[in-house]
Parts: sequence; C-alpha cells; structure tokens
Amino acid sequence: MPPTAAFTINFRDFYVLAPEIVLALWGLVVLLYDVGWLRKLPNASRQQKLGWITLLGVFGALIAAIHALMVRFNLYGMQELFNPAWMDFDRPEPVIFWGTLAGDLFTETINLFLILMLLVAIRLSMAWSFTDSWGEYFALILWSTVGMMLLAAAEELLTLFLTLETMTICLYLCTSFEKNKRRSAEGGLKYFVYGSVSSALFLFGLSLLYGLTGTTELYAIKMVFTPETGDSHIGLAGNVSGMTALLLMLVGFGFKVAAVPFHQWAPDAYEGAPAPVTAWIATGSKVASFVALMKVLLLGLAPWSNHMRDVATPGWVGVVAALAAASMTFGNLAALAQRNLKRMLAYSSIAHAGYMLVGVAAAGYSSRHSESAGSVLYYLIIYGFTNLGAFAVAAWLARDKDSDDISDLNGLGFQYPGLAVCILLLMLSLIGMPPLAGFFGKLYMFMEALNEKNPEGRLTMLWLVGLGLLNSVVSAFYYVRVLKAMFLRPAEGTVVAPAGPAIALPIVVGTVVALGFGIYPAPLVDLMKSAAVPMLDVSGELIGSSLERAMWNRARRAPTGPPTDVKLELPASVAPQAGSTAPQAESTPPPLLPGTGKGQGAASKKGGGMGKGAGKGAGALKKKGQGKGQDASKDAPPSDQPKTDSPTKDAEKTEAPKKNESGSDDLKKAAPKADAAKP
Amino acid sequence: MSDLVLLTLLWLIPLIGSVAVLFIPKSMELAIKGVSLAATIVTFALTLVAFAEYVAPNSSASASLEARAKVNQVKADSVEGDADVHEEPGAAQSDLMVRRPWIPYFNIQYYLGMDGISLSLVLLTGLVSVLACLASWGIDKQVKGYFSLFLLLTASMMGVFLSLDLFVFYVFFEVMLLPMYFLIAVWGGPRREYAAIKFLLYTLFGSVFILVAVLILYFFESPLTTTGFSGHSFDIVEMTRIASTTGYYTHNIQQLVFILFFIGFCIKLPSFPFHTWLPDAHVEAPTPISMILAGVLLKIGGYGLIRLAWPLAPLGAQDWAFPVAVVGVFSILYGALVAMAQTDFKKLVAYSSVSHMGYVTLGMAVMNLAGAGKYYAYGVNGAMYMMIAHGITSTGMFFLVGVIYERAHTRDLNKLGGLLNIMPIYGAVSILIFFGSMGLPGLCGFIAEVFVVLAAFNYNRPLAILSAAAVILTAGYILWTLQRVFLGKSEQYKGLPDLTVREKVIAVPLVVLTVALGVLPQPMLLSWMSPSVQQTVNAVARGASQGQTGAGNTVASSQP
Amino acid sequence: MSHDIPLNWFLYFAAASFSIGLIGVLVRRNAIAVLMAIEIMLNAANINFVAFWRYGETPPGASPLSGVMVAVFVITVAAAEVAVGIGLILLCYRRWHAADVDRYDSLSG
Repeated sequence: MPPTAAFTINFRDFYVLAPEIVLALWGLVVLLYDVGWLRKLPNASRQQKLGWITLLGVFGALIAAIHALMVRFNLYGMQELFNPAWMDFDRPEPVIFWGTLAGDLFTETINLFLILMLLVAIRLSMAWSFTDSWGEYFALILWSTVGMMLLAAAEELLTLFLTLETMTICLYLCTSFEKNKRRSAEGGLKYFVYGSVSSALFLFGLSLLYGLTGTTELYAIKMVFTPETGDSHIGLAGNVSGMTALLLMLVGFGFKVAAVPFHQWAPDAYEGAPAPVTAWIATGSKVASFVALMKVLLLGLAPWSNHMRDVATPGWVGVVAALAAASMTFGNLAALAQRNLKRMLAYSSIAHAGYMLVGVAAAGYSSRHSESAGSVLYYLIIYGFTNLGAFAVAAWLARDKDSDDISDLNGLGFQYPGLAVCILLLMLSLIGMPPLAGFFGKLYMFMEALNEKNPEGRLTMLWLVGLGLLNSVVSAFYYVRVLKAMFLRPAEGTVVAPAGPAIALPIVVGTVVALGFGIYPAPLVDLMKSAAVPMLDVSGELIGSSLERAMWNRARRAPTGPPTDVKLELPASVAPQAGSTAPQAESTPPPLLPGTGKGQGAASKKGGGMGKGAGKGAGALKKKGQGKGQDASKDAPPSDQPKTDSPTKDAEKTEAPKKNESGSDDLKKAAPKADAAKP
Repeated sequence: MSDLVLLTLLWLIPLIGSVAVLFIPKSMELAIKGVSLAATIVTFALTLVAFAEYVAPNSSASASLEARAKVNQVKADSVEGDADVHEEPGAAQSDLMVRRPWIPYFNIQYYLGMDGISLSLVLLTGLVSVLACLASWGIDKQVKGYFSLFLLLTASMMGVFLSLDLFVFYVFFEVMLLPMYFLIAVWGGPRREYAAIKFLLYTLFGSVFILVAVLILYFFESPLTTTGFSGHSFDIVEMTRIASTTGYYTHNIQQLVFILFFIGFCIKLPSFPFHTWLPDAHVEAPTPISMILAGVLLKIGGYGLIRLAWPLAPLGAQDWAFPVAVVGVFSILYGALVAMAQTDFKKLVAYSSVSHMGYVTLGMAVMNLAGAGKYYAYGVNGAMYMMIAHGITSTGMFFLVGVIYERAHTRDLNKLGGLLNIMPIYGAVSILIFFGSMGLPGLCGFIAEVFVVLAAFNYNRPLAILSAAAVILTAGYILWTLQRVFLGKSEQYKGLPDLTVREKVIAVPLVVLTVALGVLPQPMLLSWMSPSVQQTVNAVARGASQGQTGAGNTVASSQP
Repeated sequence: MSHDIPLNWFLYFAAASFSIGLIGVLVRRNAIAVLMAIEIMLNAANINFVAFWRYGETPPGASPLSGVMVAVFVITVAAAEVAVGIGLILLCYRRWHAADVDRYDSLSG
C-alpha cells in the first residue's frame, strides 16, 4: 500500500497501536484529574491517588498489549478465545501507517516488557514525595513511555527521530522534578544539553543518509545499499559521505545509550534525577534506545556493517566494537571509584551498555543476525528488570536518609534480611554470577558473538569477549561493596524504615526475574529469538512499494538508466524496468549528493576523527565537475552508488536547465498521481 | 533409588536444608543446628549409598564413564516428552549417571555422573561437611545465616564433583564463591574482609580463565572434519573421548586450553604463583570453614586438573608437562620452607597445604608415557591419593588448631607449649594426624608421596630427588611444631580441658581414616579408584600420542 | 525554479552552520547561547533536508514531500526543545543566579 495511495487509513492500525494510544490518552486523563479534582488535597494523598489512577491506565495498556500478543501471534493458542470473527485482527501486519511503524511480534513483545517495567517504575514513584506536581510527573512518565514504545516500533527515520525526541524531552523534564534539590535541576540541564546536541548530530547524519538514498525508510535504505550480487556486507570503503553520516548517527546513539566516550551526561543525570526517574532512564530509555540502535544499524545500515566480513575493516562493526571495549572498561573502572550508589549504578550501566554493544557488533558481523540480536534483547530485558530493582534501593535510601551513598546501606542485611537477600541476588546477577539471569544473559550474548563460522574476525570477537569477562570480574569488586555494606557493617546513625510495597516491588520483581530466567532461561530465549527475526526483517510481506522503490534506487545506482529526459515520459511505476533494461548509457539520474565532495564538507567539522576521509574528500572538492565524477567512481567500488555526479549531468545542467527542471518537477508530481490512481 | 533421584539429592538436600534453615525462627538455634546437621548427615549417607552401588559386584556403575554415557544417551528429538528420555540400563541396575536436556539451544545438559575419581571426592565432601557442621556448634553469631551459607557451600561442592557437563560444572563452581566469601567475611578473624575479597577476586579471575577455555572448546571447529564431531558441546565425557581418540583439537588449541585451565585451577589449588590468597583466607576463616576450605575446596582445583585440564588437552599437557612439574616441585619446597618460618599455627598449616598440593601438581605432570603410561598412572594415583589424604589430615589439622585457639585464645607457636601433658587425648590425636600429614610410613600421607615420587623418578630424576628431599623439610616443620606446642612444660595453660565428646566424635573418623588409608591403601581406596584413574591416564596417553602418530591428522593449527 | 545554485553550495552552507553550532555548544559558556547553538545545528540539518528534497528525485511510491516533511517536523521538535531548554535554564538560574554552565557544578566525579 503506497503511502500516497489516497491516504486511506486502515483502522486496524489503531488497534495495533492500542497500548500506546491508551497510555497517551491516559496521560491527559491524569493531568485533567489532577487539575480538576485533586488540587485541594495534601501532597502525599494526591500522589497516592494519582499514582493509582496512573497504574490503572498502565494496566489498561498492559491488557491491550497482552491481548495483542495472544490474538495476533497466537501465543499459548489463545487466538480463538479473544478474536471474534468480525474483528479479524489475527493477521499480523508487519508494518502499519504506511510503513512508518512496525506492528509485529517484536514490537508487541517489547511493548509488553516496557509496560511491565513502567508498572514497576510508577509504583516506585509512589514511594515518597519528591515533588508536588504529581499530575505533570505521571503524565510525563507515561508520555515518555509512549515515545519509547513507538521508538522501538519505528521503521522510518523521521518517526524514529520524533519518537526519540518525545521520549527524551519528557525525560529531561522528569529529571529535574525533585524540587528541593539543586542537583536535580543541574542533572536535568546537563541531560538536556548533551541530549539535544546528540539529537542534532543524529539528525545531521540522518539528513546525509536521506541525501544518499532519497528515502527515510529503513528497509528501503537497506535495499538501496545492498548490491544485487555478492557480499551483502559491502562496508564503507571510500564512502566518505556515508562514513560521515554513519559516524554522526553513531555519536547520536552513543549518547542515548551512554557509551564511552559519549557517556558524560549519564552519571550526572542519574545522580541528579529522583531515583524513580533514574530507574526509568536507566532501563526504559536504554531498552528503547538500544532497540532503535539495533534497528538502524542491523536493518537500515546492515550493508555498511563491514567490508570483507572482518571486524577491523571500514564499516560500523569496528566502530561499535571499539565503543564496546571502551565502555566496558571505562565504565567498570570509573564505577570502582564511586561512593554514591546512584553514580556507581550509572557507571555500571555504562559498562552494561558496553557488554550489549559487543552483542550488537557480533550481530553486525555474524551471519546470524537475528540470533545475536535476540541475545542482546534477552540481556536488555534482564538488565532492565534487575536495574529497576537496584535503583529501587537508591530510592529507599533517598526516601529515608535523604542521601544515597553506599555507606548508607550499612547494616541493612541485619535489619531486613529478606529484602537484603533479594538485593544480594540482584547485585550478583549484575555481576554475572551463575545461576542468575545476568550470567546466562552475558554468556548467551558472548556465545552468540563467538558462534560464527567465519574465522576472520572471530579472534577479535574472542578478545572482546575475554575483555568482557575480565570486566565482569572487575565489576564484582564494586557490586560486592554494596553487599559488604549490607551484611558486614553495623548500622550507624538513623536506620531506614521498612521498605513498604512501593520499594519492595521492584526489588522482588527484579529478583524473581533474575532467578527465574537464570535457572530456566529457555522460554525467554525462545521468545527473544523469534522476536528478533521480525525486528531485523520487516520485509515479510512488506508493502510492495517499498521494495519497488528500492529496486528503483538500485537501478539508478547502476551505470545505466536512460537520460533524464527519457525518464519524464515514463510513468513512475515503470521506472524499475527502465533501470534494468537499459544498460547502455553512461549517465545516471541526477545524484542527490556529490559523493565525496559532500563528505568533505561534513567531515571537516569532525576534525581529526575524519582526517583521512576529509583529506581525500578535499581533493575531490577542488576538482569539482568532471574530476569529481572520476574521483567518486574511483574510490567507491561497491557502495557509493547513486552519488556519482556524472559529467553528463553537469553538462545538462548548464545546457538545458529549464527543461530538465520542469521535467523532473513533472515527474515528482506525476508519481503520486500515478500511484494514487492505481489502487 | 534411580540415578536421577540419587544424584540430584546429593546436591539438592543441602540446598533444601539451606533454604529450610532460613525459615526457622532466629531464637531456635538448636533447631537450626540440628536441621543442618541432619542435612549433612543425610547427604553423607547418600554418598555412602552411591558408594555401595559403585563397588557392588557386577555393578554397571563401575564401567567407564564413556561406556555409561553410551547407554545414557539424550535423545534430542524426545526433548519435550519426558517419558523415555534416556535408556536406563535395566530397571534394577543403576549406573550412577543422569542425562537430561536443560537448555537445548546451547546443547547444555543436566549431566551428572560419578566414577572412581569423583566418587572418592564426593565421599570426602560428605564426610568433611558432617565434621565441619559438628565443629560449627560453637558458632553464636548470626547462626541462621551461617548454617544456611554452610549448606549452600556443601551443595555447590557436591555439584562440582558430580557434574559431567562443563556448563553445570561452571555454575556450581561459581556458586561456591559467594557462600565462601560471606563465611569468611562475616564470621572470620580481624582481617576477614581483606581475606574474603582477596579470595573472591582471585577465584573470579581464575574462573574467567576456565570460562574462556570452555568457550574455546565449545566453539572450536577443527579443520579435521572426519570425526563426526563439530564442537558445540559441553559434554565432558564426549569431549574427552574426542580429545583422546581423534586429532580434532589441534595442537595449538590444546596448548591454549591447557594453559587457561591450568591457570584457572592453579588459583583454586593453589599452586605457587597464585597461592597468596590461601594463607589469608585460612587465617581469617572460622575453624569449620578452614576445614572445608582445606579439606574440600582445594581439591576442586585438583579435580579440575585431573578431570578437565589433562584429558581435554592432552597434547597441550604433554608440551607443558615439564614446566608444570617444576611449578609443582617448587610449590612443595616453597610451601614447606615458608611453613617453617611461620609462628602462626594456622598459617603454618595453610602453607603446608600449599606444599602438599604441589604433590598433586607434580603427580599430574610427570607424564612418562612409556609402557602405556604405567608410571604415569602411579603419578595420577598418587595425586588422587594425596587429595584424599590431605583432605583428611588437613581437615584434622585445622580442626585441632581451632580447638586449641578456642581454649588458649592464641595461635602463636612460641606461646603455646606443654599441651601434651595438659590435654593428653588432644595431644595424641594431634601427633597422629600431623604425622599422617608428614608422610610417616603406615599413615595416609606416605602412600601418596611414595606414588608421586616413584612416578617422578621415572620422569625426571632431579625433580624426583628434590621432591623426595622435601619430605625432610616437611618433617622439619612438623616435628618442630609438635615440639613447640606439645612438649615441654607450661604453667600458663594448666587446666585447659581436654577434648569434649563432640570433638572426639569429630576426631575419631579422621584418626581412623588416617591410619586405615595408610595401612590398607588397596581395599580402602585404590581398588575402586584406580580403574577410573587408569582410564583417565589411558585417555591422556592416547590423546598425547595423537601428537606423534597422528601428525597427519592434526592439520596445521588455526586460531579459534 | 532552477538549479542555478548547485546543490553543493547548500550542503557547504549547511555543513558550515552545523560546525558553527557545534563549536558554539563546545565553546560558549552561557546556557542560552548553548541553546541557540543547538538550534543552529538542528536548522543546518533542515537545510540539508530541504536541499536534498529539492534537488533529489523522489522514488516512485515514496512521499513526494519527505524532505520537507522532515524539516517541518524538526522545526516543531526544535520549538519543543527550546521550550523545555528555557524552562530548565530558568530553573537552574533560580538556584544559582547565573546562566553560566560552568557554575553548575554540584555533580561531578
């Protein structure tokens, strides 16, 4: 169904989005209820009331998500039960809303887990009164979740950017909600500055990608870059503009997932934010960002993963591997020095991002993408639940002691042995001690990383995995510090009050997840493995148009194609054949981006990092025109497809600009019409 | 009793006990201790049941692991249906092996089994945990937590010796760390936290080496494709067979794997360069935990060497045999010399452990494979014998040190003295057990040392002479210690009570075993343990000969 | 309505303004200036989008306006970001009585 096909809305799409819609509307309900009925109440009871109302909405979304999973994907054979014939919801649609969002098993699974985490996080927020704007607070948390869920579902870069912003803007605000604390406002501002700079970098990379491909849909981007024959991992050799786009986007994602060296915001924001918000930033936002990262890299930019299938050749696998190694090592070493529990957890979450990036790199380089990606998803879920529990401990301290140093935990083990044992298990799971889920998750990911037949690069992976394992040992040192405080030190000064259900819930849930999926991981492994398949392959029964478009793009790339004038006469839908049938002429359709020349422009601001590419690009720039054509064709063997600024084109530009212009304008206008007429 | 129930209960009963203890109210200390003791006694009884099944005439359990593994196949296709997952050899016959799929995606099995090697150590574990539990009677701080962790430790040690799947092995291996950490860190001496974190980090580093070796073995794909085996297995028995009969694991890989395993288990053993955590841990740990640590935990290192390092990488082992033997001899000498210099009774015993564990390393390393590995079998038998003998004597020594510390509140050898007159039974028991450790003929340590030195003599004379000479050093520090502690006269300690009934109950089995193992080595241990040792030795010898004869088989090595 | 100005020029301009924005973020210490620099970066990307859209060719079936649509949405997002950013800066200003980002130093380590 082409997007321009008269914009018919398929109402089943809304059904697929039911959890998101429920949450988004519920945010409004919460706000209105707060303003309308609860203004007069004292703060604490207002918080409780609103919290329960929010939870009600989250439960609604949970039911919607479970319903969708069961009906649309026939989990546990529940399809018949919930799917009356007239609804006909059972057909899993790979994409909805004209290909902007996915609506497959993967998104529904992630939605389910995000909602479960949200449930825990909201309950945690009800632990104590750290603000008085409760309506806004709960609404923002709900909306940030909507952003996360849509981010995980985005199949198209504009949607991805918008949802990313929805998520982060809500979280910037949530971070500075602790009114009586200086550090909360400061953490929020720092998070905001780093976050929006990273968004801008990401957006600029995205714009270059758009220029290179002419589309923003991930699958179409992949098709454009994939050569018809040969290795589908063509890498980036010589493609300076592509490299710039890629690096910029990686920097953006690096900020979002807090990978070294783009991690500086994380400790500050984590420490500054109220503990429940920290928990939500560290888990929900990380899960969603990682999913988006994997989608962009493993789906859209898969052809750029690497060249020659080796890790060290140009392509994003090498970059991601380097980020992973740096994040693991730096995160763990920095965490060693921390005395503040939240800050320590912040650095440890940087380290965990490093472990997960190992999995991403593995998924990029291996031929078993979806299995590797499934292992990262498994780790993400385990990480999310255990970290929620860990931050609940910080919330406990913040509530009762108004500080969150590790030493504040002294003597907890003697006072509340039950919960202390749960915390112990959480910490062990974060270290990666068997038989807890953290161990299995790590091992699962590392084993998938090594599980690749291709011998090249396997050694690199082995080093990476070895580094990861050594880092787990280092991490034991600081996690054990928490255990030491709880069990080996006598209580001093004021002691914490009983946890209460709000704080106990995340801790217990995290423990159950860590223990349950550690001893019997098979169900979650299976679910994640099958969920990762649609994540990396929306094509299924993908909209024909996207495929068609991709073919068209690919055709343009080949040194074929009729002169532009010829093209005018062709209806848009014929274009693909035109490309494949006419391998005679030298000219190509107008390029969007004069390959290397542009690369230089973008590269120059990256300074040293891009030195090599920039130099080459600069050369190309000086030579403009004809020279550029040669240059591009020379250093862009497989990948630099549609960009060759061909001499013919230049000639046309000077000779008959008017005609050419009006022509392509006509084409533009004709295309939608033709398509609209079709169905 | 079916294998599944028996082998599972061996580790599950302490685990259930460990959880059950948590639900007993804090005030009922006696109930807590009673439940723990019951759990350890039941476990020990079960090990005896297993032993009876193993040594019963015509027992199918005494067949080699490989033969039994063939009978107990996991049927991949019947993973879901639990009805007939594996074939029992016969309804009445039990062969002490279970195999069930656990995580089929990675080919991980719940695979437990026993042969003579593991059975001897399982028996030791059962016995030592009962004795240590009795010795824990005096614990009065955080009783509930103590016994819970203690039973968890027992469960994991049992699991390590039982597992025949590398993944299961690793899980139990790691689970062991945590209770040990807390047992030292909460109930230990003044520098307990330092000792505990040192123990934890050393062992964690060691386990990283082990895990990497396991992953290499799992993922290694040989250029040799004719074996019908393609890696992706955690099955120890199967991998041992592959390593010994085919050239599947290339030379380089075996060297790498051996080094990784060796370092990993040497930390646990501990052998010379990695031993520094041991004196700290021993000195700080409470008495019963020292007993467990010396009696069983150190054996896990030795067991890892004998079960994993050598059989899974025989070629690598052969290449590295001489350096390893040198490390062993050095450990023997170094441990003995340092022990001599100690004034802390417990530290002395700790260093004597380092020295004795050197014999284990040496016994494994003296790979004179001439004559179908006849002499090498002496070495490995000696190493195993040393593990059992040391398990008994060192348990006893730490127990005895604990007894005197409890009464005299000092462990300083220069302050103690004249105890033989004051506590005659204590003195007699101590002298016997210390002599057993020293290797006096007729006591258990002697047999082990003779075997190892004999094997070493056929491997490398200078090393053999050095290791034999170490007996003098051992005699030196032990006799000197006995002299300082027990002889002479002491006014200060007059009136110290002799062993109580509980302490006698602990001492009796140790004394009996020290003598029995020295006088009747064959019926007590060797008759049923040696066949398994011989199978291991044969496997290693065959695997090591792949290097020479099967040069064509082992294609130029490649990286993992 | 022509290609009189080559695409490259737009791209150079966008790259230049993006660099200016990035440098601004790194160099300026005033929070408001930082916010403005971020805006410049976003708008540089917008220029790219519109230029690519104008000079590029729309694949069949794709939205004919995708580049422009992105730009419009980005403008909206930028507005939202500014609103939030100003709010946060005000919050900090009230606590520290300064808009200098170097002064906000209660968190470090």
